[in-house]
Amino acid sequence: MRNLALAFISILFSGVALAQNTAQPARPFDAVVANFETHGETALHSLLKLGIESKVAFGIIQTDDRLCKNIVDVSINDESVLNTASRLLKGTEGYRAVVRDGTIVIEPQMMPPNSAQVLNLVIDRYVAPPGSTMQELGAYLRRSVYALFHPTEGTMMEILSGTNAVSIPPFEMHNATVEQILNRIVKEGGGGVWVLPPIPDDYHDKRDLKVADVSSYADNAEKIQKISCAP
Amino acid sequence: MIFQRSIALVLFTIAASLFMVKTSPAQTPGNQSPKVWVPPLATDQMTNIPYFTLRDGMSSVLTLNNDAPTSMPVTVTIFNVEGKAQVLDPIVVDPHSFKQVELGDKIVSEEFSEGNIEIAFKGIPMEVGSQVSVSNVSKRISFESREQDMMDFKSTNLNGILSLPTSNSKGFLALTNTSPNEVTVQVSIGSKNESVRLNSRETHLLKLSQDFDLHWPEATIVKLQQDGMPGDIITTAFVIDLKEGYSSSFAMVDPALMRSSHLAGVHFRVGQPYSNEGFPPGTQFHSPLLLANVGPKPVNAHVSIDYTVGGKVESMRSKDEGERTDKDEERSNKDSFSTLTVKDLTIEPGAIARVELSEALKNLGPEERVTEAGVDVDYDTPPGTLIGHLVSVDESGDYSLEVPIKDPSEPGQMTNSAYPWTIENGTNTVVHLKNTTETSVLALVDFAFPGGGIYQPQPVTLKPYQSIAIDIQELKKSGKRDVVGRAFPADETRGQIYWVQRTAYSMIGRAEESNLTSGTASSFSCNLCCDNYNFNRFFLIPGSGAGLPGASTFFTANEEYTNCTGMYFSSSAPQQPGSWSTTNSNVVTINPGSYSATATYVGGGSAYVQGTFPYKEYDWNGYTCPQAFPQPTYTAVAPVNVRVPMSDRIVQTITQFVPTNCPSGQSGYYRKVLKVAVDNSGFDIIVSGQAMSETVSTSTPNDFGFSAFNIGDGVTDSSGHYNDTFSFCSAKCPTPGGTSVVNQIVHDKPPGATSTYDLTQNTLSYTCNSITVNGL
Repeated sequence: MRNLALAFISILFSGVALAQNTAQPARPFDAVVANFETHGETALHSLLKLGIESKVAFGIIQTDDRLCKNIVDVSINDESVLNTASRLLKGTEGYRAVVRDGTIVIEPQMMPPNSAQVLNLVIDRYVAPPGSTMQELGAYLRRSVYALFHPTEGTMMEILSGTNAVSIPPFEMHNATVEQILNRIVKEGGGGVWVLPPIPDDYHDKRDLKVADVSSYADNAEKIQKISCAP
Repeated sequence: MIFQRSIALVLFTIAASLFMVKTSPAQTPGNQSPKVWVPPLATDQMTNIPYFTLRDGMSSVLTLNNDAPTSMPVTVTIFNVEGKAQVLDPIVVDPHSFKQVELGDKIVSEEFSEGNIEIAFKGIPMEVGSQVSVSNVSKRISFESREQDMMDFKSTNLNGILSLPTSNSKGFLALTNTSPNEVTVQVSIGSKNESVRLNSRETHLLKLSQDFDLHWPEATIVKLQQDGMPGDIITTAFVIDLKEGYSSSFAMVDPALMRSSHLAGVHFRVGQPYSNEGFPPGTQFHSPLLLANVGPKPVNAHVSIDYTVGGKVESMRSKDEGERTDKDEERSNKDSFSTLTVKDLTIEPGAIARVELSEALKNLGPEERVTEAGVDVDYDTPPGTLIGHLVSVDESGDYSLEVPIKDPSEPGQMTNSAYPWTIENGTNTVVHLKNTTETSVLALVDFAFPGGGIYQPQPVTLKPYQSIAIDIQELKKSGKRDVVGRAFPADETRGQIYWVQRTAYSMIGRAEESNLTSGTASSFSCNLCCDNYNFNRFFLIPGSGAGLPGASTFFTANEEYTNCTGMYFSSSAPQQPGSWSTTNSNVVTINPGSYSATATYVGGGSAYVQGTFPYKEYDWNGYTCPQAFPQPTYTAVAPVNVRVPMSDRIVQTITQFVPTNCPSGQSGYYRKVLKVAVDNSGFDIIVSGQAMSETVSTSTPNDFGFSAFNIGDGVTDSSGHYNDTFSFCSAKCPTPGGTSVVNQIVHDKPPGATSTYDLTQNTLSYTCNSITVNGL
């Protein structure tokens, strides 16, 4: 696992051509990428790279290791971000790129029940307080989900961050699903990505349940590069 | 007289040994204390100038060159030809400056219109240089009468080459007795002899052409023998042609002083000079080198020259209006330096050979001008058996410029030299340096101004046998910054130039002052001292280093000199490559180069980066300036302090409140603080790019039942700051309340570091109305 992560970091810094001249249409995922190249990278990391370069919000649902098995080697010119994402998924059987709530969601065509259940959990009230970072908003969502399963237990958040981390404007959502909240979070503050890991069957009882890893392109680029390919 | 000389010799020896004061070695790891320059004791010094004359329309200007960093009162005594003294009022010469005295303005009567001069001062030997320039501007003639000291003599014999190059040129030899006793001098030319008896301080001018019946184009050996002690008789020998304006000194040298079978001269002229040098159009120089065998056996000599074609090596002469043109630049770019064998010849005992140096360069193209040239002569008989004489002269004989031919190894060729320079009243000064060895050598140059300022050009590297010119007027115009960024002061027009040959006996030099308006020229080649006390230390830049693991510092070694008068030379690279080391490779590692090294910090603690370099040391032994053996080394050190992250502290609380976004039925607390990491010495680590992460674990009590943690990581900003946000929600808040304690360990990975450092554990205490860190 660590070897794969290291390899990914190396590839990112190996000087591949990056997306350029991204136009700014009404819908960010329709923005045209003049050129995007990825060579010898997994589909997952190619998608993450596309997100970092295009600043378009992404959500990635990992259910197994398929996104990591397929090695992508493409050079794409003048395609929209959405189409580029779809091109990157060629060869990854059973995965597709769709747009929901303005976020490009990479999902399996056959969604596992556990993942679907978590993403469809309804949070009656979600508040993003003023001055919060994207990491913090992800933690607040996790706290809300945890409270659904363990309503009597306390939750603690302890987050280090840079002083120049982007503050997300405050917002509040009612009766929104987990996925809707995630899609909203990653569209803020310059964009970001959420990655849902495979959800185990006993997720109701797991106190260390990871709902989703939320990262900001602006604040957590290095962390995004280190997102593990393993389920 | 004998007593007086003995005293002087003793004083000289004492002064020389005082210069060698050194501090005790190595006090700190790998370190040596700098050799502190200790000003030598000032003692009574005396030197003599053999001749001056104010007769026949001649004028004599005495130049006093003070190399000391303080004002120097000098007592000048004029002796007439009969040894009668006239003591002038003390003349005070400014620090690092020179003063010129028109002797015609000082003498009290006609009876002092010819004679010799004694110079007395209190200082170190040779601290005040002196020379008399004798000239007749209307006749366009000039020659030099240079000071002579005891160290210029080792025997009672002197030899010289008299050349009469023009039809009306006549040779003269002025003899002065500096001893308190009567001395008899025998002068011989060929089979003829002339004996002169001189009382103390008397001067006698021998009319060689007349007394020995010599005529153009005679070139002959002049031999002198005297029955006193070495140095009792001092001489000035010269040739003048009042009709054609030819004039030149010629040297009378003591063969016993010569220490090598090598002679050299710097800056002879050949062909046409550049038009901007001010010579009349059509002026054409030639340079006949005369070599005389004064030994008993035939001499095989090898004559070679070095020359630069197309431009000055050090500076370019510009157009009269002072503007440098593209063509000048082009010429500068095309400068080429070469050496060339001129002739191999055999000279019989008592014979003189003539080698026209310009002949060797006659095949140069019409656009090629020799801008600098020097000559080397190697011979196969004992030192002192071959002597040389060279005057660059134009076809009319009006412009004649003596090129002293010296043994680079003779004791008088010290490692430090000081010349006066001026660019006033149409005079320009060009300093000429020549490498007389087959390896590259380095010269340090320093200009001192009367007001106390200095200008220190970059050290000059001379290729094997190369001659270079430093045109002071052009250097000033160039606007070049010196080693510490200073410009040549615009209002300075006179002062002193000091130069140091970093390898003893490797170079010769002289300053040529020329005034084309008056058609006169002077050549100064005053030596100053042996550099036994010159080397101060090597030091590293930067002088110390500090940083976090992963950081690095690039150290370069530099050499610091102080010459014998206290002139300071800094920031020159060591002469030879050295070695580098660390006193603790767990703290700092070294990637060494020849003169620099990259130190990479690897672990916390203190250590030293060390650079050890050899240097050349010369110790004056009263006669020569031999290099110390074995070659000493000096270790320069730079302390480094590698800081490691040890803990963190709260700089300030950014905000804290009861959150409104807890899940339904819960409340809690929120606090965001600004933090900075602290090093092992308790100082904040103000370094950006530190990757901060953490691990947390519950402790007791844990009333809120924490078991799930949300954590994040961040990177420090340019102030070393990062944020730490604490928040919790619990159904026990606001009531019934409680306390949960959590242990936090922050991990700090400095930029470039391979290790991550665990900071001291923090204790976080959570209650419904507060969150504290270590009680704060």
